[in-house]
Amino acid sequence: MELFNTFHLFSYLPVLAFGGIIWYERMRRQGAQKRTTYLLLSLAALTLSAMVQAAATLLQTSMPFTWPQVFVLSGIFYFLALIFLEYAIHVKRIQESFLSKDFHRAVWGLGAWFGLAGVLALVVLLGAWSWQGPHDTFPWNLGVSMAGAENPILGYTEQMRLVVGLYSLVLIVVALWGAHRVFNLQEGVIRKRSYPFYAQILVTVILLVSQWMEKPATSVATANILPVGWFSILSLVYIVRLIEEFFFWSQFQLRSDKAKLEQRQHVQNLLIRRVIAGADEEDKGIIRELMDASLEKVKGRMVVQEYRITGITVYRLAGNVFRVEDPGHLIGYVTPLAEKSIKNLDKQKLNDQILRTTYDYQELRDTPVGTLKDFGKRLIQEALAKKETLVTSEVPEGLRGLQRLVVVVPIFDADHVLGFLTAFKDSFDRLYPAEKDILGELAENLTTVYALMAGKEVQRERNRLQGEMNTARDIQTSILPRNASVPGYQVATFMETATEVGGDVFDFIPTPYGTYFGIGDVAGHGLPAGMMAVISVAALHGALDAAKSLGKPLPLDQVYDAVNRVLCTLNRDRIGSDKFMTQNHFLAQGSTIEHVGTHMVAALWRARTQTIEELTGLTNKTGFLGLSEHMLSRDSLGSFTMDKDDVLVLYSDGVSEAKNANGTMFGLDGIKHALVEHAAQTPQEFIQSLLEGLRRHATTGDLKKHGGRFTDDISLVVLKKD
Amino acid sequence: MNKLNIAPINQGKIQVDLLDNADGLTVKLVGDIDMEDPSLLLDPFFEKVHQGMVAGKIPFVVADFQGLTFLNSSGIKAVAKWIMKLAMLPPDQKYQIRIAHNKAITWQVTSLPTLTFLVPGAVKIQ
Repeated sequence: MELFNTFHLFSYLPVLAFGGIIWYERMRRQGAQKRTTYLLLSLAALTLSAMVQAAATLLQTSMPFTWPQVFVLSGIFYFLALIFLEYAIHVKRIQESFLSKDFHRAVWGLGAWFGLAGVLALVVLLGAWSWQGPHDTFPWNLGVSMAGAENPILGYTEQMRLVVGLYSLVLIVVALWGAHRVFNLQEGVIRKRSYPFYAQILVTVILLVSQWMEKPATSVATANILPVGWFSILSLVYIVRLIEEFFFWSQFQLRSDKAKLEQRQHVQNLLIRRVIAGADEEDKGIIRELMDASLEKVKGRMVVQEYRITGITVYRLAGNVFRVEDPGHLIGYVTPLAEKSIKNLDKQKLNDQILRTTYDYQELRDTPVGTLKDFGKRLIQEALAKKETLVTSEVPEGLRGLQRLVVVVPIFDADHVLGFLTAFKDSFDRLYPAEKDILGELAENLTTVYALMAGKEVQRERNRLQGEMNTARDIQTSILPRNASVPGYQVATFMETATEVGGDVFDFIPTPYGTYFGIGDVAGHGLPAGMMAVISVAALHGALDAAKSLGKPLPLDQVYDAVNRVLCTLNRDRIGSDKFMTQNHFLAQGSTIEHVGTHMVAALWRARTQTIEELTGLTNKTGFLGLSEHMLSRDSLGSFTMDKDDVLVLYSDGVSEAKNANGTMFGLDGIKHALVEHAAQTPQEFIQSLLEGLRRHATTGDLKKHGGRFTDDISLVVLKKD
Repeated sequence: MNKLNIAPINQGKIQVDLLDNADGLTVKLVGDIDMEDPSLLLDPFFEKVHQGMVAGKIPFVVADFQGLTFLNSSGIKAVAKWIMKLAMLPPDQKYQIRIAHNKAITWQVTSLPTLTFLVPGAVKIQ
């Protein structure tokens, strides 16, 4: 037995060391202070229990204690250790579940019994002072006269047996109270364990019986020492409980949290897939499903159903206004956030009022927080300003009797407000942490859905704009002549627009006085450039058609000036565009070609001499079109002739300015080189050959830089004299 | 500061200044004008120069583009708008813009000469 006692006393060391490590680790964690305080108190009580047992065992008769004192002190300290440990374990859940009042009520009941046990323990302790003296006087004789007794020790032992027996009975009641009342809270709130209390009862009974069975001592020297080894059962239970909650369940909680996180991620992924793949009208249904699922989750998590969230509403920010987008986004019992009484409204009318109610985001954002008088606006404003869930049970007069709790959860994508949701409770004025989590999760999912919906709207708008750009580009290319032809010449043309609408244009217009043709380019890109190109073509056609109607040819410079004036009026003055353009107009009459305007230096292959003539007169002889109505093109007039197999190459700057990787432009030299190589080909073949050379030149330059497209529009007009 | 008390523009890659010279004034443009809307800078500057030229009855101003490596179409439009102001002036208030350009810079060779045609007699290439 002595060995058993010694082993037990040493076993306290690992228990206390393990408990100390757990306490230190918990203390360093944020938000766990309460738990560490009670854990520390528990360890302190356990230490006192150990000290009492050690002192009694090691010092024996040097101490005024024998088995009764050790028995009661160890029992009380152990029970305190146990109750503090259990409270340290459950305190957070008790507080979060708003069960502190229930718990404290149960603790007061326990306290009454524990107080009684304490009084009896005190009697036992005071009895120790009578150890050395006579035991036949009150109160040491407990009212029983032992005058003339032969063995006063025997009398003392009998008295202690009686008091300790009473104490044990009370302690058993206390332990049963602890097992069945103190932590007997709502099911599911805490993980209640009764076995430590039963262990205490077991050890109390064992020790009590063992001491009662012992023969009473006849002297101080032979007084019984409590077999404290039995307390090792309690030490074992203590450490099992410590490991179970602070180690096993912590690990379990971590794994559970990880699993929950993965599940949330999975749900988010599914959500993303559904929203992206779904039609727009399905999005509202998805939001409804999320809301329903959240309310179901609340039902599943709440022990007392009548205390749970009873309704949820979702508002989305559209433009500058928050509103409920769909009647399906009102679930459960929901009400407007009304100041005035709405008690006379039925559910349908309440829902209608919610659907009609909007909140101006600008007002909520620009008004100082807390100054808005309207209850709903004030609540929403504060939640949005703080970017956190706002809970209030201080409902206005209009809501009293209908709702007891209102919750507003803002929906944010980083700093971008997307909406908010409101939740209501009609029977309870507190929000459970689990409910707050579920609402937070719903807001998170709604953030995803709204962000994707906004993305889809942007994409839809982008597609619409792209469609319009395509239409604009189609207009630019569709106004080009279907069949470019000049009598006495082979003609081929080519145009490839850049990524956006450009401003290249060419045209061929047969008239009784010869064939007018031309090429031009608007400075810059985009829709304004395309519009200017279209206006210039319309103006050219108008001028020539008017001349045809009048039955007389219009000089080439007058055609050019007419186009210029139209562009000044429409493009510069009315549209307000800052675009201008270059053009060369030509009039082919037999082998003679007149020209006017300013565009690019053209290349003319002379077949007879196998040489190339640069037509420099096509540039810098007049001003750009669309800038000044005072400009006259007369001085840019000129002409040249073409003989059999001569080749004229007209082009836009997109050809000559196409760059290679070194930034070197294709230039007029590139065109001349193509002419030297391929002038014998038909104009169509020549264009293909020139384009091959151009692409080769720009492959590692502009084409690589712009995903296989040229930086600027590419236009070519090639005439070969028959 | 110049005789018209017009403050220079010095923003990013753009420097535009009005300098006094022996015969009159020089608008000196230096740098690279490729911003989206240079008219926001250039239009007010050219307007002040124009008003000063008219008020001071100064016969000509040199527009020195030699240090300007690039001028986008919006910038050319701004210069063109300045030139167009001369078309509206009565004969006794007209002045001349003399463009100094750098033949080694392609855009100057292809674009600046065409500005001389906008308002006959108003612009001269030096």
